[in-house]
Amino acid sequence: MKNLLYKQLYSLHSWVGLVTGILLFVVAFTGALSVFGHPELKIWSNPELRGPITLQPEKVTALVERYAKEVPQKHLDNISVDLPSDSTAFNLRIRFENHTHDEENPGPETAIEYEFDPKTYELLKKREGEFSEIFSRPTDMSSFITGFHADLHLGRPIGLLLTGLLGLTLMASVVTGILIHRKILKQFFTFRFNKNLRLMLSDGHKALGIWSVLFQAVIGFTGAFLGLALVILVPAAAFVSFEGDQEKLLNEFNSMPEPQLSHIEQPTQVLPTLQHALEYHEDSAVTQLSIMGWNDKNAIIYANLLGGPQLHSLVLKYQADGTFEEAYGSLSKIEGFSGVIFDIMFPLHFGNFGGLFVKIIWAVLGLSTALLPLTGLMLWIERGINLNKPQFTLQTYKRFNQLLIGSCGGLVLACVILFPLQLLLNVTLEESHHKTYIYSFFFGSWLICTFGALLFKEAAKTFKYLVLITGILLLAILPLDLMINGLAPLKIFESYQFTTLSINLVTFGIGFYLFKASTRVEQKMLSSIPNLSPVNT
Amino acid sequence: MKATNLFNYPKARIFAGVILTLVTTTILIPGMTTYLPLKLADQIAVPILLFPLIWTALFIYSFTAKRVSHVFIVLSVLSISHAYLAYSALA
Repeated sequence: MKNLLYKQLYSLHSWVGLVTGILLFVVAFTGALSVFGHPELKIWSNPELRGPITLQPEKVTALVERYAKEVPQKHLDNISVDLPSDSTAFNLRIRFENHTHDEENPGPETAIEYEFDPKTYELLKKREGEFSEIFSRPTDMSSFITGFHADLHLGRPIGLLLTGLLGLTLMASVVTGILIHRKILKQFFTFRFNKNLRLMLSDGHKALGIWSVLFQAVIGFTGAFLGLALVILVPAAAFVSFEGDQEKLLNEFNSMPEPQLSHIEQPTQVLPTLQHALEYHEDSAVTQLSIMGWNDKNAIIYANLLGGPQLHSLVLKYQADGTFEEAYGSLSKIEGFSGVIFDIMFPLHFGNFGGLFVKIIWAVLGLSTALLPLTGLMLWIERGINLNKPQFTLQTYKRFNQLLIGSCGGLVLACVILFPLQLLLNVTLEESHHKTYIYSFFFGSWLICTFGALLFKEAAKTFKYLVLITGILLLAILPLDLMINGLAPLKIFESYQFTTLSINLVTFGIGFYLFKASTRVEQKMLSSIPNLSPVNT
Repeated sequence: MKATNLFNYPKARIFAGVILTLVTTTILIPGMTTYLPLKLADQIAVPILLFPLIWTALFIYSFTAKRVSHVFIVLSVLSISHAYLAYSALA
């Protein structure tokens, strides 16, 4: 009986992997890149953000006060200030918001936004319109990759639902994987890489799974939550307690409630607030100020902090005169224990709670999550081919192998293509036009690789060329960046462009390795699985 | 051993494991908010947090239960009882 249960779990583990494996690779690989999406890749993609950014509170305050006098009174419901720093990677943006969304005064929420250079404080642009227009920021490769990881650019609800369900199936794979690998301790240290491909894949799959099992459980859980929260979980939770009113539920748990205005005039003190927030913790970065009730005695200023000793982001609350009131996590203030758990969901998923070291660990573990379905699927193909009575025809296994190489290798290549593309777009086109090219190159190259691999029947050769082209593209990033943006990243002690130089060197190193490896992969693949030679032979 | 030999009524199990478990777990969320002896915030949040765990348990159960009829009975009882609890709380 136990044997039957074991076989059922094993079969379930295989089929879940088979159905979701390629999609899991896609989401996990882009997830590993997304760990560095903000701020590292954002800084790299936008040369104006490279180098140290030191915020000058006096200048920010002067700009807020100056433009608050210029905008119409109705746009002073809330003043949001996006603060530039090495950790936030965006320009200084001051947004004057008009929240006319109550029953007496209906209409869309609108804003007037001023954007300034983060180093010179020169006005770059002024935008005016509805929130949806203001918040539709230009796309760069960093935002494209993080967005693709979140919802595959299929939007809400389909994209979020798909990635959320993938989180659930990852959890099912983790649980069934644990249950079928009972001799877990022994497998911890078993990796026979110098034996045949089957043993290498089998050991690699088990070792990767066991070493990163906790991480995968966390990623599956938080991924399911982040994907399904807005599509299923919040609407379902609001159904009884708030009679289906999601907005009411979200307002109930709003960590930054609006003040009751007194209509007694009192200048809002931005400077002491900003100075206090900036000095709150040496490892924290102030990302945003929200000023509600400008120049009213009961005005409240909220400062959002990222980083520091706690896992989650922090909200600092100040009175109109700049007096500090309290600090709390976005949801930790809610009565009960669940607020803290919600607060740590996002940092736990993206690893942005403990500096660069944690990010590197998260990226490596993310890559292992991407490799797990890949090794599992390769194992399934290899075992299937070598069975006395295969479940499917040899042709089917070969076609699946081609699809696997084309779609997974193609995704890696499509992501890598975005790096040189971004550099070229920065000097050839206005940023509002980048989106079309980024989408076209990414999806175009991915589709070409996938269909090309299916049409070009020599899987080992396809794999070799994919590795080679990816390697060449990665090798090209460093010289291309130096040619286009100058030698500043190399003069590291003058320019302090550590992030840019690190990304350039890492891509160059990986490119060099892939370039060298491309000469060997074809032969190794053919010698390991002779049956995977061209389909018609 | 083939999957069809391991699982009786594989199509019914796939339907239960993929579609019904998702529907049942979604119905469980509003239903659970009516009886969990917790503070308001936790009453709403705990079912949300339990969603992935409950789904995983029901998904695995759908394929490993001895009889497929048991799966449908368990999922139906959970769905109907929690739908009734949610309905009574609203009525």
